[in-house]
Amino acid sequence: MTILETKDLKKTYGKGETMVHALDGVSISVEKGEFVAIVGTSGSGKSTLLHMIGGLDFPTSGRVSVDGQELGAMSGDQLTIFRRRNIGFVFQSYNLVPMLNVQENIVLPANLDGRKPQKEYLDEIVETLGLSRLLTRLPSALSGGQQQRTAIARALVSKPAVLLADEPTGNLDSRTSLDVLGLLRTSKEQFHQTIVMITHDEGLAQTADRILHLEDGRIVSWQDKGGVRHGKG
Amino acid sequence: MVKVDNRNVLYFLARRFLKVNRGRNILAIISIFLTTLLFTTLFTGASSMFLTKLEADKKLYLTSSHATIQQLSQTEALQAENVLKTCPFVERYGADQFAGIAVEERLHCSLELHTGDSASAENRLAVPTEGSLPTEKNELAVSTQVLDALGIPHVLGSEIVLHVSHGENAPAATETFRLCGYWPGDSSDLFQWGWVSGAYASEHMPMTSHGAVAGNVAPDDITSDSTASEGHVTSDTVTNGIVTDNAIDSVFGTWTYCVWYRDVWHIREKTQELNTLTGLSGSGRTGDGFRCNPAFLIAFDFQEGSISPLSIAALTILVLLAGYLIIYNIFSISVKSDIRTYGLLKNVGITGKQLKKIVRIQAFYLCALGIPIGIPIGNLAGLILSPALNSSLTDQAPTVVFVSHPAIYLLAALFSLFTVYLSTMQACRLVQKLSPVEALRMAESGKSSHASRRSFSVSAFGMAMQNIRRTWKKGAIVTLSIALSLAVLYYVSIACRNIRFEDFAGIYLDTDFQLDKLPAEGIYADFQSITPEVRQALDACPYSQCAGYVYLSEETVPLTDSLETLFQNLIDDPSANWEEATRANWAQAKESGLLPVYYMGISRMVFDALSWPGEPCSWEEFASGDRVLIRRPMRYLAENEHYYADNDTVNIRFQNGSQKAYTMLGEVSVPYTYTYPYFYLTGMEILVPEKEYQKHVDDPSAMKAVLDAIPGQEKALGQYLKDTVLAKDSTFHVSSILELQETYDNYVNRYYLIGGLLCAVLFFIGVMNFFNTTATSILSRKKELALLEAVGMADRQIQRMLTWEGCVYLGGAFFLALLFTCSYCRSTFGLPVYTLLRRTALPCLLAAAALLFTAWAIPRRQFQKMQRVSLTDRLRM
Repeated sequence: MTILETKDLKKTYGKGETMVHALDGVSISVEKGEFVAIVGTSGSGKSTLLHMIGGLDFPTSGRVSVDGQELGAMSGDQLTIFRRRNIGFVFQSYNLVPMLNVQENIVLPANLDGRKPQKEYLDEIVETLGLSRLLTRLPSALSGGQQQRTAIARALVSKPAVLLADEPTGNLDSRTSLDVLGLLRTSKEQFHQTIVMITHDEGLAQTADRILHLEDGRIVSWQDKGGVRHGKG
Repeated sequence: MVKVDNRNVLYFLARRFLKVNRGRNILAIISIFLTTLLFTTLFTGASSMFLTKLEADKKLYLTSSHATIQQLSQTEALQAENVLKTCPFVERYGADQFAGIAVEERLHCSLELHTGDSASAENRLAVPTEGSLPTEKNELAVSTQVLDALGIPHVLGSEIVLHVSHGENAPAATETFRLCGYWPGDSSDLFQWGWVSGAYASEHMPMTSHGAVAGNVAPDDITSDSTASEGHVTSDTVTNGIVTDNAIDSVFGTWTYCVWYRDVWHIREKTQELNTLTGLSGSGRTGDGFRCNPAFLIAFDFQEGSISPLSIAALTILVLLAGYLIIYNIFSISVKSDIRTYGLLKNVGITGKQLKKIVRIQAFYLCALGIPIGIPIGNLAGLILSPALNSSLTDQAPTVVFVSHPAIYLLAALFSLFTVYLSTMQACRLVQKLSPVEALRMAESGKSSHASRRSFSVSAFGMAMQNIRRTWKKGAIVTLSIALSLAVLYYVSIACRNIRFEDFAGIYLDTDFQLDKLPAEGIYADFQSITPEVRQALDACPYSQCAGYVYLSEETVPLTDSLETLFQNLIDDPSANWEEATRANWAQAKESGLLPVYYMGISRMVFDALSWPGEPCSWEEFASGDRVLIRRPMRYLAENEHYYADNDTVNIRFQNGSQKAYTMLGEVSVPYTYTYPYFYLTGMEILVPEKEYQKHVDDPSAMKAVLDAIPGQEKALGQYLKDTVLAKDSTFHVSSILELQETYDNYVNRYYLIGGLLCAVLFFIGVMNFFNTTATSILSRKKELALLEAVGMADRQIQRMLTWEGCVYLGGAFFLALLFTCSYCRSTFGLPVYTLLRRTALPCLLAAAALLFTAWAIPRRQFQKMQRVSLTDRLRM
């Protein structure tokens, strides 16, 4: 079942001679429960693509649909509410709310939606991500890895349709990076979470079920779990 | 979309923002507190001024109800009563009947005896504070002033013997009363009331054919019910000749009705309506029916020294602006420094509206602390300031009304909330429009995408200017905020020195001392108060260098064609809305062919104070007695209009039947002190030498006496007047240069006090704003300043750079305020620039010293605070 789909997605910045095509007709589809990595060099349009998929930014043309809902038809506030219910974000710089402790950061999206996360589910996430003893700490008192684990927990707690991870290991050392990737993988396995991860590190991308290669705003190839590389996908 | 209730989360987040912004919170609470304090003080002071003026005017006009009608016959009283009982806009009313007048030398004023209800006692400001209104026939309630004058102790039950007259020409009879109540009297009251019982009035006010006297019938006893019990008079019996509607020849037995409306709005219209409903528009003492209490008209028309709505509005805007500037800056800076967190929250799923709500919640939490502190302290400040605020040039030590009312607290709270609401609008807009992608970028890079590419000089001043350019908006607000307080300081300094004592003395008192019995209401005036005995005492005063007198008598002149044309034009003026009484006077003058005039005798001292439009004449020429001067009124007459031409014959007909033809000498301007002080339209003031006056007028008493003291003997002269004149008759109104000087000082000090306090609070707000901006500016440049230090810039150089920044902000405020105030005052007061600069020199010097200290001390303190963190740590940030 397709959970995420983009059709001929384009995003341009500037006008005339200074016009830049950040995305140039990207069409992808992601199945429910799939872990997809989008790999590309700096400036290839990875982050822009993630922002479009996550409803953080609007495309110049093309369509994005998540869990059957067309994002382009939504207003700013509708998109925000859609985001907090259907999209989980994990950013390179963690983006935890500095004045909230770990527990408060984790439950924030659910609370904003007027819900309390199921206690068992929350405990399971916290346990799985190794945050049990850090719940009362503020982000400033956590290491980078701990902050990123908190960000993953926050992203998972709403049971989003898609978890979007933008260079989740960019600020971490290699050992912690592997831990975080392991946790994302576990999330996929344990919680059947659909994950789209952006990275420039081909090695880290190998954790994913499928790898899409992005260059100059276009998907140039994709690679399946078996390592077989295909043309434009 | 399903709407979800996540208010609790928003409140929770707002509380967390508050928790991490303690410094900002303290500044914001102080700002909100000061804003509320200023609003509450302003509203308390303004209310006190309004009510003090209203109460003083009620006392001045000797009535406290909204409208009154006097001298009604019995039938008219019945008409009034019937309407007032059922009138929907009348809250309550009272009635009293004139039952006699006590003729007592010792009182030096009239003691009118009335019988009435408690409402009428309230109306006449004569409610017994001890005892009660009379119920027994021989009971009497009077003021302590009357008791003191009669030498009777303030003890209920005391015996009072009075000589009472019950009719115009009736002889005074000696009557003995028992004191049943009294209230504090006022020595300045020229009229005193005494309350007698209904039974007393019934006995002494027998019914007459003229109908005015119907003392045995109280309006309350008159019913339209034909089955009324015995002893009550029905309306039928009233109309059957017991009382009649004939014109009132005497005030004895007549009725006065006083009315309070349900609210104080549209008093004029309601009074007019009452006249229509009762059909009494042509009745009453002045022949124009129910009359509004002038105290309410003055108060609600905001005339004569009452604080104007415009002044209140201007001050409210000033406070609002001052509060806005600092609260705006605090929230603007705070939101900008927290913008990354707001961005993160937006990414997590908080909508723009919800982010806005978080900012608003923070603001209202701070209001919840600042406003409740500001209200009681502001009210207290208002109460402390009330006596100073109510000092005025015209009213002698009014009884100050202190106001502490929930409506004031509510209004101040609402205005403070409104100020905070306005101040946070920009911050709310900022977070609401925050783009999630921009927030992400800020989160990742930790800095703004805007970078300055201007080149600048590598000097302390150049670098300071570079930073000012970067943060010019914040700087502009700080400059405006400080400029506001300085503008108030400069303005107060210019305006207060524009009020010169000599100018006021010229208006209110042309000489060192003056004596008269001329209260605000003409009907209570005594135009013959300076008797020959009083004059003798004044002439014998060893401390006076000269004394002058003004005599006044109402006489008539034939209404010539030219006079009739002139006055008819005035009456017919479509832009003027003359009262019925004025029109009636004119109609009477036309009918009789005689115009009433004020025939005034003046002494040499008064003559010397006259202003001449043309060539002045000599006293000797005037003193011949065959020539008259006519006062040219300040209004009504056009330039080419005159009552008489020079050398015209002015034929005056005196009350005693004689007449004399004078030659018109010319028109003169008379200082206000020497004029007839009440309104008239169809008439004129004709001046003759005092000796000439005395030849034609039987009463040798003068209206007013004026004295100039031998220089340095003002106090002695004042004491002399107390000992010789006031000791015998305390109802004289004495105006002295000493009192006026004191009143003037109080008056000017009032403005210095208000201006000074306002300036101090505004300056404090401005300095807080400067402190906040400087602190934020230094904190946000922590790394940049550390870099400068690292590359070799000495601490002193950095401090100098920061001081330069402060100097530019504060110097800008200094000159902006000076420029604005001088331009405004130049157009308002018409003063030359040199005078304006001279008057602002001292405040400018003081302000400059305070500003220089602020520009030096605050950045230095902030820099030192920043230096507590090591250079390497700051570089790592």
